[in-house]
Amino acid sequence: MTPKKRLEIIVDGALQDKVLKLLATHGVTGYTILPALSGEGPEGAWRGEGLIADVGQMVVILSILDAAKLSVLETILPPFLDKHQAICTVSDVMVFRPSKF
Amino acid sequence: MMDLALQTLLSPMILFFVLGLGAAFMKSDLSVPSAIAKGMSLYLMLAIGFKGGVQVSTAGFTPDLAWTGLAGFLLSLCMPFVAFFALRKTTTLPAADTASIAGHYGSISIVTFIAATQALKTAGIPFEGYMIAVAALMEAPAIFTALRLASRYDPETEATPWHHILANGSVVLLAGAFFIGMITGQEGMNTLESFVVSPFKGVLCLFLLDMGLVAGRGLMESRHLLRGSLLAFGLYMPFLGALMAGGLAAVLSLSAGNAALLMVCAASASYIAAPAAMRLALPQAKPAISLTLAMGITFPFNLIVGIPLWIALAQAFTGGSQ
Repeated sequence: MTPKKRLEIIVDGALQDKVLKLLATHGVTGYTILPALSGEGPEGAWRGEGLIADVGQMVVILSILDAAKLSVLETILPPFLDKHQAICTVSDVMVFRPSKF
Repeated sequence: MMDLALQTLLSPMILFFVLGLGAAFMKSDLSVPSAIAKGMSLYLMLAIGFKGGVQVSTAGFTPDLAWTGLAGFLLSLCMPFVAFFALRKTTTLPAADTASIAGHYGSISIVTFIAATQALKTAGIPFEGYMIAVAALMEAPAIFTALRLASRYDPETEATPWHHILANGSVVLLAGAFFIGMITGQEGMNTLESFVVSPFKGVLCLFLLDMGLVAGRGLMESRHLLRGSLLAFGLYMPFLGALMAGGLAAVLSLSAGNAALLMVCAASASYIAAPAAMRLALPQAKPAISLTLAMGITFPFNLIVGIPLWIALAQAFTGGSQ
């Protein structure tokens, strides 16, 4: 198995396309999006249930990438995260087929 | 006026909304999944847009349609100025939040509009089908004005998301269904009647139950953000909007039903199109403030008190003409 990095960004659904565009311009084109149900943070509690617009419905953007690509994202993601109140984590993972990522 | 208020308050739609609010306040686990809520909102917009289009195909284009559309467009374009400067004078909110709220209040709530059409039907007050096109026209101009105001006072404002504003799903579906109704006319209505007419009120009741739950929970979770003058804004801004629209309706000699719907649009605040555009162009603005104000204060106010009040005022402004 091959070591890779797993990037995880929790962001408002209305900003999903903006994040994907930002990632794509820095070579991160593969991703998976998951819906988030509810949560609580410094800005208070939120829940996506029953909402009809994208705003307020949080999503999780997952991407598996090389450590080399991560160094570029380290400079561009923090200012974006500060401005848009998003959460981003990076963790180590192992993959079976490295050519897929 | 009291009869109309009682008739509206005791309608199943409003009672289901109040049930949703009550369930949220008592922390019930009652909930409507987002996918169902979205599906119902799509159905309601399709049905009301289509019915409006069919009515216009029967009545044809009239100068009233063009003038009322222009009035709605201008109202939406100008109302953010009133909201922005009222908030700047009475609150200490940053310019980005002020502009974001102004954009929400200049744009409209299509759910309030739909509820108002049902109240008018129950009261036997006629209105023109083209009012749905006027409502669709009032969604976007306010967002444009609010973002211009924001860019003047806050250099961090990002580029206007034109595509997102103009191609917003609610605008596309409302306008699209309206044109489909206009093209297919009565024949189209005969085909879709069992889908767009009979289930409409039942779906609206279930949808308003969900809106009550969402409004109540939003209010409980973010009520600490709304204090004094900001809370008051959520209640007096609908009056300012409705009075501006009422004045225009009187100048244009609109019928009581059309005037009431124009007033309802001007008194309502958006929570579909405007929040998304503001989130993209004004990331520094806090959506919890504008959404809680629009959904937790102004929406219930309009639904329970505003609609009968705007209808009564519209009758007074227009001399009750039909």
